[in-house]
Order: sequence, then structure tokens, then C-alpha cells
Amino acid sequence: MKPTEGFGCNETLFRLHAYVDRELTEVEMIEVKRHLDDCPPCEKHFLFEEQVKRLVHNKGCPERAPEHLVIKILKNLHQ
Amino acid sequence: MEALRDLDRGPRFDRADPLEELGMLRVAPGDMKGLALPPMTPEAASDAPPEFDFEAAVQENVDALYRGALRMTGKPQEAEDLVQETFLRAYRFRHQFQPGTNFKAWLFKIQTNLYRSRYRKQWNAPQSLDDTEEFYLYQHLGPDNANPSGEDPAAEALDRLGVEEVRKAIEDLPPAYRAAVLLTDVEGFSYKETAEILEVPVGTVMSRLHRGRQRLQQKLYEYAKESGVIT
Repeated sequence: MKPTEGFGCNETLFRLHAYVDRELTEVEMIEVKRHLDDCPPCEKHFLFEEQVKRLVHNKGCPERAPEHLVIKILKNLHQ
Repeated sequence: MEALRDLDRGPRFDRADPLEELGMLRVAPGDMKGLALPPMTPEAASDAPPEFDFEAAVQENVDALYRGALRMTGKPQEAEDLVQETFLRAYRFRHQFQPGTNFKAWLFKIQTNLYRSRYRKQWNAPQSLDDTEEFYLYQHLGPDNANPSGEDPAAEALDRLGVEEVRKAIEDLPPAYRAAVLLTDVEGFSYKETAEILEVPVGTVMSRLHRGRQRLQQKLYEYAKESGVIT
């Protein structure tokens, strides 16, 4: 990638979810990080989107496999 | 390899600075220590290799497969059947697992294939989501630009959302979008791993995630309003 002038708000917001997912190229990660460090409103927004992802992670699937299922699976393996 | 094993525990947002992980992101997925099968010949496939503890692999992955199956089927009994069959197949075809790759991803691939064949109608039903408003929640809950130094009201509202609202919002997504969101956001798989599990190009994963999350945010907002956790 050629040297850039740095990302503005639009370029940052366009990449915000991919940044939260750690899925940008190394150069883009650095550029977004640099913008967030300099721009409190974008940083606030980034923290919010990260919080949404954490919400889905923590509250989306709180269930654990029931014990009888684990026992059944292990029993099947021995047959 | 520490970060790669963290995949198993969920999204990689628990570090303060995403850049710290950059080095790890370029590493090929996999290398789940303790889960890799030793190289073996097809003739030896019927004997479980002594180094590979399948029971431990069941214990380690059963919760993830079950919660995924539960969100996909919506019914505990069907979820149990799906998970049981997934492990049966995994055990039967364990010699096909590529050592050094991600065992959890392999299990999810088996389970997703099973889901698709059992729930063909739901999976194949017309289910494209339109582009809706970008950053729906943030636009509707905040930001409080008048008070930039104070607590973020959007963040506080989000904290009040409960398990019930989140669960319903996820289950409202069409299956193909739901699967993409569950695999990346709940299980912490990378786009590439999710693409391999769903057997679609990475670009398809990205667009399903994009639209799926837009819809999810919209639904979260609606359910939060309905239940009164936000006003």
C-alpha cells in the first residue's frame, strides 16, 4: 500500500466492524488505530460496536450442554 | 500460539489494543494444541490413536456445538440430536481430520453440513436481507455529543439488554446470516475459518455479517424497547 494521508472519519467508520473483528490488513489496522487515537467521537463509536459484539458473545448463547447429552455422546463412542 | 487457542474461548476483544495481536493474525488458523491427530495411514484409521483423546475433545467442544445447535434449531431436543450426530460422524471420520488444523472448526463444519441437510427448507428459503441503516443501535441510542466527556448513554443502555432480547434477536436472523454471526461473534472464528465452515467465499461471509449485524442491531433495539430496558 502506498503511503496515505491517514484515514478520516468516513474511511474509519467504513472499516469499523472489520477493525473490531481484527480482520483488516496490518496497514489498515494501524491507520484506523491512529485515527481513533486522535478522534474521540470515532473512538467512542468504536468502543460501542465492540461492546455490541461482546454483548452477542456473552448473552447470545449462555446455555451449556446438558449432562445427559454428554453422557449419551460418550456412551455412543464406546459402542 | 496463545492467541490462536484463545479462539476457542470467543472473540478476541478482551485485549486492550487490537494491534498487539497483529502478528498472530497472519498465522494460518489451526494448531490446536492437544487436539491434532498424529499422521496416520488409512489402514490404521479404525484404531483411535493413543495420543488423541476423543473424549477430552468431546468435553472441550460440546458446549460450543450445543449452543450453536440450539440457536440454529431453536429447540433443545433437536439441538441435542444434532450435536449427538455431529460427534458420531466426527468419531467415524476422525481419520479425515487434518492434523494441525482447528478441530473445533472441523466439528462445526460437520454440524453445519448436518444442519443444512436436515433443515434444507429453512436454509434455502428466500432469505436475503436488505441493507438497512448503518450502525442502527449507535444511531438510536446515542451518541451524546452535547456531553462528550460524560458517561456514554448508548453504552449504558446496551448494558441493560438481557439474555432474552439478545437470544430473540439472533433467532430472528435467516439461518445463513445467523450462522455467520454465531460463528464469528459467539465462537470467535476468523472470516476465513467461517468461510471454510460454511463452504462459501470470504466475501460472502463479510456481506452476510454486514447485513446480519445490521438486522440484529435493529431487532435488539426493538426488543429492548418492547421489554422496557430502554425508553
